[in-house]
Amino acid sequence: MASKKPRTIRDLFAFYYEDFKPLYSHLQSLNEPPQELFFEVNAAFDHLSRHWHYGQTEEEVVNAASVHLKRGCFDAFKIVVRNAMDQYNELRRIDTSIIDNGAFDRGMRQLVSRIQAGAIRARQAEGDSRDEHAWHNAYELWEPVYVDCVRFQSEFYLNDKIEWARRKQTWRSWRLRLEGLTVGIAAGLVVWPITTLLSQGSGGNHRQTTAGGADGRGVAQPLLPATSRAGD
Amino acid sequence: MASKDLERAVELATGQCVSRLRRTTVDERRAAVERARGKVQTFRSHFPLVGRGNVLRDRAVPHDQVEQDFLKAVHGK
Repeated sequence: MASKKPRTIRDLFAFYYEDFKPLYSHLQSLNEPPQELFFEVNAAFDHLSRHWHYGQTEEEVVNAASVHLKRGCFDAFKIVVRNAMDQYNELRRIDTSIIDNGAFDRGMRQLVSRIQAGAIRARQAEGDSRDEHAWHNAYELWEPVYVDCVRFQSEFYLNDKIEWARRKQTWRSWRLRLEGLTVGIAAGLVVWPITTLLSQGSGGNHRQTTAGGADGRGVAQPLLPATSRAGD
Repeated sequence: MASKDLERAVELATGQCVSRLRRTTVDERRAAVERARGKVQTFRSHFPLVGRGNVLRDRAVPHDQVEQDFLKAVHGK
């Protein structure tokens, strides 16, 4: 990647062709190029023109223009990272643990955490855009993040087995619903005769206890036998 | 000089050889993408994730807000 900051106009255009244009082509292939990159190119062009129009030195204008092109590259990296994270969130809605006995899931999570950690480290390294070391460091750190994002898309997001897992998940959710319904019906069939029998049994007992009297309290039994009363 | 890894990644993402991408003009590339995708190219703003100098916006976004938005995008929340 661009290990050295451009010093001349020739260097600047070498940087444009080597780094900026391929990244821009990637974003353009999504058919929605970012407006922000146009502003950076516009600003770079404006700085360059000052060498001829306002007599600024080549080093001055190249330095100012390269900052804008560099910013454009960093912006492209961030957009690619965000797209990868959006794709990851889409995959999280699918049970990918069933692919390759969980190896797919493990690999995907490892790659995503590497992208996240790398992006944060690269973002922090950007620092001052005029700082030459920051320029070099940030590029060195963004590049593997970008490569990982493209790898994530090709190996995980566009993996053939994703569609299979999606179909499997749909079928499984329907199967679970069907099983739930079957269990519910079966449980109802088992419980229904039991409750009927219990209610019949409890209904008979109730009739026995209330059979003694019309008022439901039963008939009072005499405390003494009838013979002893006759002896009086 | 772009590294070989980056060039390979760009080729994988675009389906085009990187030297061809460099050689093709922006307009030719736009026409090719439009043909492949079957729709007219549109320009999209990714502000505030990127583009602090976006002149189309009518408000200034604090630095902290930009950092927060960036972290949100990275963590996908």
